[in-house]
Amino acid sequence: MQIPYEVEERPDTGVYNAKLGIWLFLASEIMLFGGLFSAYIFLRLGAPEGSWPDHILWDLPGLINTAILILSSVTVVLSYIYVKLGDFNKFRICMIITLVSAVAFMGIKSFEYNGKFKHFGAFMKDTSKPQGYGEQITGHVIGDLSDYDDKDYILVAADSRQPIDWLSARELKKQSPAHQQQAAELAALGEDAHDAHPGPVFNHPGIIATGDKYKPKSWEHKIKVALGKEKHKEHDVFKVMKDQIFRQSMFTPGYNAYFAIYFTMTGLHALHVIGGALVLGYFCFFDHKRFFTNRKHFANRIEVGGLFWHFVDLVWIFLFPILYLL
Amino acid sequence: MSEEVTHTEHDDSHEIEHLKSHIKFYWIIFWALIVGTILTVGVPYLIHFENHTYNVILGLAIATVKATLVSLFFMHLSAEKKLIYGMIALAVFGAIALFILTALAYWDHSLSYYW
Repeated sequence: MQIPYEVEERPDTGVYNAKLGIWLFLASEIMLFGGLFSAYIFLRLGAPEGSWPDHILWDLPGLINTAILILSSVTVVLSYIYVKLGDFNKFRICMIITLVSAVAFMGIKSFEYNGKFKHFGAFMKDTSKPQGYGEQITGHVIGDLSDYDDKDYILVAADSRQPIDWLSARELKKQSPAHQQQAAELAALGEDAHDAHPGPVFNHPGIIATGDKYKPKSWEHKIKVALGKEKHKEHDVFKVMKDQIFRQSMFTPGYNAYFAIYFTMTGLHALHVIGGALVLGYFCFFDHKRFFTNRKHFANRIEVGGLFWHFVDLVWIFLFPILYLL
Repeated sequence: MSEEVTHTEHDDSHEIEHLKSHIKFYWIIFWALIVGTILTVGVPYLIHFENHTYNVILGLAIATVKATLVSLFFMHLSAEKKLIYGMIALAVFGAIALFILTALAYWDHSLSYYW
């Protein structure tokens, strides 16, 4: 049976049926992501003051992924133009660039996810706080977490910059002798004393400095050091007493509200990238005969697939600043 | 008959020129989007706002401009059928309604136990 109006425009709607279909679908997507953006806004507004992570994600992979998606958005719209111009080779080159971009995007995304799943954090007990916990330590567990099953502590190489600070903890750090000494040295050199950064200082009795140093093995750390973003090549090792831990986990969705919404939104977005790439890949490698038999229909298909792809790019344009930068 | 053929040929060459002009234009949009992205990342390093809220507003403003460029030109919304605009308007209304419903629950003190 011939599907009606897949090539020609339907007189009453003014568009071919697939275009109406994709826009109906995108309309539902606007509401789906709109709901999630609302969730993000209210989780952030509802977070206790100073507890919402600030710049916890490394922005470089996100920046590269943004550029990749923008490039793929251009190549997908160009592939549509080349179908209309009847240039099959250029169409295919553009489409293959789009697909390679999708794979690159997913590769970088999985690199980021992997880094998070290997990142450890613990909230320390604090009975003076209504929520029952106060200071937080984040970093990399030395060895494997299971190595500490029969011990009453965990050895953690703390991140040089503790990402999620309670305001009070942040202020206390400025009073630490190491911090004040470095600030004074910077001031003597005529530099900004605010740049003083002697490494993490904890005030919780359950976090004990060992004086040991540890060089993180992750690629993220190596690249950051090479780029000068990380001034501490080695991280200070702390003994975290298990009986003082309020709760602990890797940086999984269960770690805090921020990671919950981060993984939900980027995960759903990544599923869209995979879905879009599958459809565009099908057009490029399995449906390409249609280019020569019914080019107008093929152009419509590429346009519809492209509209979805642009929407995926559109969502990322908002996800990148709200999750990485702001 | 011959007149009609000439007419179509003229139309085709006109259409091809029109499409080719698009290619250059899309690359201009590409660079505009890249510049917007660099601005979003770079501005907080260059300008230190006293209040972080300004960073948030600026970041979202740039993102909105970028999203407008993508939807107007890549998604061809600069010249689309009325029906499509209607559907998008309805969807945006739906998204705002979802936001308002969440907001109402958020500011409803009878639910404060759950926050």
